Amino acid sequence: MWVRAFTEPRRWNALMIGVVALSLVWMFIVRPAMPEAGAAAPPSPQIGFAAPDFTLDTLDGQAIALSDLRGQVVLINLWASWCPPCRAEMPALDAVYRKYREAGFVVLAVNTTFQDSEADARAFAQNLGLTFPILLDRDGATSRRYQMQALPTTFFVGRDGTIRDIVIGGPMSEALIASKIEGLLAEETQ
Amino acid sequence: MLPVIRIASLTLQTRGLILLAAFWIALEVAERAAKRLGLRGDDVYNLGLYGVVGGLIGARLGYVIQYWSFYRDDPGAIFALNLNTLSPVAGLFAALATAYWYARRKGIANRRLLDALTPGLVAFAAGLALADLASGDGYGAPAQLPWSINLWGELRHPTQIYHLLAAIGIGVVVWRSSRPFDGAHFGLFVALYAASRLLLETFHGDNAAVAGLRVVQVWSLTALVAALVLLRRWAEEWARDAALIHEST
Repeated sequence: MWVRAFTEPRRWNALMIGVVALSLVWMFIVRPAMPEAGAAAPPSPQIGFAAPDFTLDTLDGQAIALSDLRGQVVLINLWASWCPPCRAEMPALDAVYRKYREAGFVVLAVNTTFQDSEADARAFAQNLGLTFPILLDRDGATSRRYQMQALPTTFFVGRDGTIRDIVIGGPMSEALIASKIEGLLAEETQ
Repeated sequence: MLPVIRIASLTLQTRGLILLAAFWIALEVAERAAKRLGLRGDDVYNLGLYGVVGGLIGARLGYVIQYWSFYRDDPGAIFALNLNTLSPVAGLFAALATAYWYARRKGIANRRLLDALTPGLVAFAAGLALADLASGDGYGAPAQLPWSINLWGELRHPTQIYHLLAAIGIGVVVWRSSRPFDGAHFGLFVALYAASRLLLETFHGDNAAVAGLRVVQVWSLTALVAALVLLRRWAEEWARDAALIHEST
């Protein structure tokens, strides 16, 4: 019976010493190696991975590339004008953006134009008086690259370009957004 | 990977659904186990419900306290139905404290209760592995193996499946093991689960390190040693009592 290993002192001592010794040896053997230079994982829309790069036009016709924003904290928000929670969280996003942009915070509001319309996106931004850039994902490539499954979806990207948090669904409150970026803004620029 | 399920215009996160289902199944099996062990099934069921409600409240409170400067200006957000603003550590402590308080109140804060909860813990561990498989969390390290899965742009160890198989295996071992004293099944479960985490963490690609070692392995070894020490103490007590009974007859 298994319980004898616990009732007989000699068996228990052997079990304990064996378990601890084997575990420590195992933990030492499989300790995580320092990541090799250039051996980075491919960009993926998952926490801990590099945010997949994209270049998209804004409503003003200016092109913005995510990679150009390295060193800043970037919030990527995928939205559509017909999505009620997207609309509900935009004022909070704008308020946090205005408060922290001087500290190096950027909001990229990526309109899923392939399932929306540029005119509706423009009217939406004007109605709400949004001050951050509105990007247009006309062919849906960026939404696919970010494996968008629901609207809105928000990615929090640190100064080093890695995804640090993901919020699927909404609406997000000002407190939520600010609490997620506070630590990221405090990090050193790499 | 199946991160969301769409039903008409409704998009549901599969991870949350699986965890909810796993929690419900865990309560059901714990309730049945409780009845087998002579405890009131309802008490064990309610203990789980109280625990999860207390845990959710504690998790949100923990988060709000941590980020009070933001919530002070936006107090309505404290009550937002959003799972992204929870503190897991605060939630765990609050859940355990609430469950303990409830068990004390019902006079069932004992080792037999832990044994009754054990099948539920096994079911929840299996559900957690399935939830990770659906969402792609708890992903494995890159590996070129015949059974590797393509996840996050690379072929990787299917760690979620390893954990699922481990949970099933642990369930079978505990189920088939004798229960000579109260707490035996719980202690055995904790020891085996901790050992499986210690072993399987090796194949993870998402591990955090402390002092050059994997954090999960350090915690797992701590839990494993604690479980073995407890089992030893309880087994000695049982053996002593059994000897006394033997002598008196």
